[in-house]
Amino acid sequence: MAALTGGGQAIFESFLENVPLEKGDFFMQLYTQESTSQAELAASFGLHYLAVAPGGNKGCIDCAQFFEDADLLDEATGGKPIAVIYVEPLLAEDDWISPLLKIFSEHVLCRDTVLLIGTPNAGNLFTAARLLDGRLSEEDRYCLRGFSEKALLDLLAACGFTCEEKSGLTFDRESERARLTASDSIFLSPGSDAFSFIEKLKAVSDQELYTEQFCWMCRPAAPCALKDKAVVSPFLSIVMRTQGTRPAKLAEVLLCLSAQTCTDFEVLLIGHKMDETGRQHTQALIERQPGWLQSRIRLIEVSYGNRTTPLNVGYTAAGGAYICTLDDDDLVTSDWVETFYDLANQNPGAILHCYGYAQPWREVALENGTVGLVSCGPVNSGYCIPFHMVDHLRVNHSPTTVYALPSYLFYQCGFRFNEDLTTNEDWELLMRAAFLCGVSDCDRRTSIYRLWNIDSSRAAHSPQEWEKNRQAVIGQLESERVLVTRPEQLLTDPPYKRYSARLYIDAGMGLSEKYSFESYCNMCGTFLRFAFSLEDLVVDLVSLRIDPGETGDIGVRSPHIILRYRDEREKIYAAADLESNGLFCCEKESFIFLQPDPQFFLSDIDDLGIPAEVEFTGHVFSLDEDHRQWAKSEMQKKEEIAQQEKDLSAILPSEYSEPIKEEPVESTHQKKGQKKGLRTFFRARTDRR
Amino acid sequence: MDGPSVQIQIILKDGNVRQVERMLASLEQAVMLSRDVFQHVGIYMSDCSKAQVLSVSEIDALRKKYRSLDIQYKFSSTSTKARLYNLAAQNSPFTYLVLCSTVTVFPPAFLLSLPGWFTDKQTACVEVRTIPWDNSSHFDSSSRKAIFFTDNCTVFRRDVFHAVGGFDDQHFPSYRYTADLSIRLLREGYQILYISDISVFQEAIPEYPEYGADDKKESTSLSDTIEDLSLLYKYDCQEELEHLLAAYKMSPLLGEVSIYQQFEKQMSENLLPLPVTGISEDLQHHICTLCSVH
Repeated sequence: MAALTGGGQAIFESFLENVPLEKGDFFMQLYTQESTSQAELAASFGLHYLAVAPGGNKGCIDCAQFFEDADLLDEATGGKPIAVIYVEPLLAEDDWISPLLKIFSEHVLCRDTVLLIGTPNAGNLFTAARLLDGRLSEEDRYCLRGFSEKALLDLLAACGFTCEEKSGLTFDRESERARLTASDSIFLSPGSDAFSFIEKLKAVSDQELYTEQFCWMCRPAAPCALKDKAVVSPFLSIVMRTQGTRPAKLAEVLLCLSAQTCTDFEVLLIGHKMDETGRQHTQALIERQPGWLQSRIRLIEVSYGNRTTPLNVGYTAAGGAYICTLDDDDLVTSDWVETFYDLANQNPGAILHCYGYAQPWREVALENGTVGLVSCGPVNSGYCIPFHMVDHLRVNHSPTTVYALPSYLFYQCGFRFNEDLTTNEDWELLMRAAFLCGVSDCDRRTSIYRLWNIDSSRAAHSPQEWEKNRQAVIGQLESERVLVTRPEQLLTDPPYKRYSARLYIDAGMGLSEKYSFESYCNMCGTFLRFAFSLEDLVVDLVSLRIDPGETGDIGVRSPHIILRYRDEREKIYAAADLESNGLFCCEKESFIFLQPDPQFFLSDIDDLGIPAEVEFTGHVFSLDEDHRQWAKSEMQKKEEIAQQEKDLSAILPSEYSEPIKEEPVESTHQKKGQKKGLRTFFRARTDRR
Repeated sequence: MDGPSVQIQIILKDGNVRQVERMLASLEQAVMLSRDVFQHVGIYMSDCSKAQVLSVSEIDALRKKYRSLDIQYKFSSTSTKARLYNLAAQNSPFTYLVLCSTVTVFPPAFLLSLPGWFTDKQTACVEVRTIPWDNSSHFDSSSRKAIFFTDNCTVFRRDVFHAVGGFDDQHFPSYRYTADLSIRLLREGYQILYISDISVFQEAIPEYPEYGADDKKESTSLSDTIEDLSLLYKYDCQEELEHLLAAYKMSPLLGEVSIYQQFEKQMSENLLPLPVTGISEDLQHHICTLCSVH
């Protein structure tokens, strides 16, 4: 591959055909090692040809003199303007070109000068794939001497030029793919997921992945320095939509922000379709904030589009390294920004995900004519869970306050919210981003998603609209091609999931919530072990109940309850000693629980003293269809027996109606507890924080 | 002082220096906006040895940074919260007392709104809603009248606070002092309001040590429960108290048996508050609800 011929020349000619050129003006070629003379091209447009090169080789003017005095160019052209500057191929080693262009743009060029620039695309897909494979072709090595699209744009900006028209030579995709097929590398085989993922990644950050050579037409512009993000940008950009119609709620969000322990953030308050009253309320609210916060708030008004539009406006205007959405009626804790900041330091580039609560709230009309805001239920920890990729494929489990996205996705990769979606737009974008960046989790609870009785996006859109949008997102997700770097986020049950169990003790007054103890354990394979300390107990146990988790459709094999006494004796109770609200399969020494909330009961406790510890062990397994069938047939048998008993007692006089020994499995022990009477008096500390 | 004035008393029980700074920044703004309303606003911060939030150098730095504020800082190692509030109010010349049990970030309009809450002379104190953790269930949502207040963020008319004798820090030193004072205020014919159209930001850290270095409690829950029992005793909730004591006496748990024994001991040594008779059934019901006795 060498300098452009054929197609490339035609592109530059077509550029010039559409530019008004004065005959007699100059056509300057910056002559590189691999250039071919463009004197004929200049002549065909009636332009004088001038070549510039280092050292004045091949009859060119030495570029060095222009570094000393740019006005010498006027002498060289006799005062005639430079109409066209031609650089092709621009290669990375030609490091004299960009300083020269900068000098020309600042001192001698007029706005009408055209810069034609051609360079191989160092960022093309096929070279990228072969780089990963490690086997570069000669063409690849040549491409790597050129520039990627972004690098070329940056270089032009630094020289004081802007690209006016882009064109180029593209790869013949089919022939390139055919060439790759012969390869023995997954990076170079179009059928492999690895290649597809490379193709996807390239497409995210680079729209020119199939371009072999760039052919651009540029114009001088005011020179500008490249933006130094590290110096001027905050860590987090908080995008907040508002219509100015709920100032009391907005005031609370701003109060939360004024309490942030990490102040490295900016707030983009996007006023969407605000009326005059809303505008006044919002501006007054901003003006009342403490000075440090005021200086971080930008109010941007958007008068068009749907509710997704202001998000795109905000995310595009954001200057932070990360961006998040905060609704103008939610609440965040004082370490909300700090948590994102810490996470970003640990996992830069990943989506930052923390935990959050939901809570029902309502507005109340007060006698003084104002509106009060009141919570009407406890916080719900439904969003206090790690990010789970598979769960998110069907339903969004992440309110916007629990995550922040790298801004790179927006300012470099062109990510935008899908404005065709009137709801679920946040979920769709989150998933697109998650497939690329991965998600980094933190279990700090930093936000409250407030569920309002009125005036919420949930109520503003019909269930049908929500479902339609949900299906659209699912359709989009199903078409995604992804590589997974964190398989644990795909597992339904993470391998080291933390389980909790609860022990209820009966010391003569029945089982009650008050005398219950919690224990946690990490599941090791299928084995569970919970230990409950009873150091505070002062009387003998009559019976106990253990609830090993809340999930149904499980089996527990070989369960044991061990009572350890203060004199170091211990008593072990095996499966045969236990009862449950499930079904016992004697052959397999297993209990089957079809329903949620499995419970084990131990009633005949030997009188060995006061136990200091209770331990529960067992192997948990998921039920298969055989288990379920067996359990259903057993249930049916029990129902039949119960019915027979009922029929018998209806026929016989009461003195003959002996109860059938086998009782229904469920609730036997709950009845026991009730007979003895649950405590009437119990206390809970609900009034303390 | 001729015009109205405010004393803001904050216990730095929870939080860190950055949160205190956010608090002072918010107060600076609130004071500036209300300079035509209040003649003087004093910021009083109390710290303690067990949970010291600010070092001496940090206090100096904050005073320099917020020199427009009148900041008083007191280090205490001997007081319970009720005692500390009483001491703060003892010689206070201010019109209003704002009592905050933890670091608090105030909304800009806080001080501007404050006088409006006391237009009714019967209003003795108002409790202001806190975010992000809101647990407001003890007030009438329309009239704003409340049965009890907490000390999360409560504003008092100082003259009323003095008139009713402040908190009973002897019998309710660290837990039920606000409930006790609530009942006394209502019995005197005052009203308590709950403000839900403005909020302050508070973020308590649950694991933080209890305030007061000299508290020689066996455990927090034990002393709190004793205060509950004392409240039931003081306000003549005899039947409920007996049921509760019986339950503790028969409890299988050592800690609960200890509660019973300690309460009996206090009773025999005449350490309990003097009983008050003539409490309405409604109020007794509220006291029992507050103590979660059903």
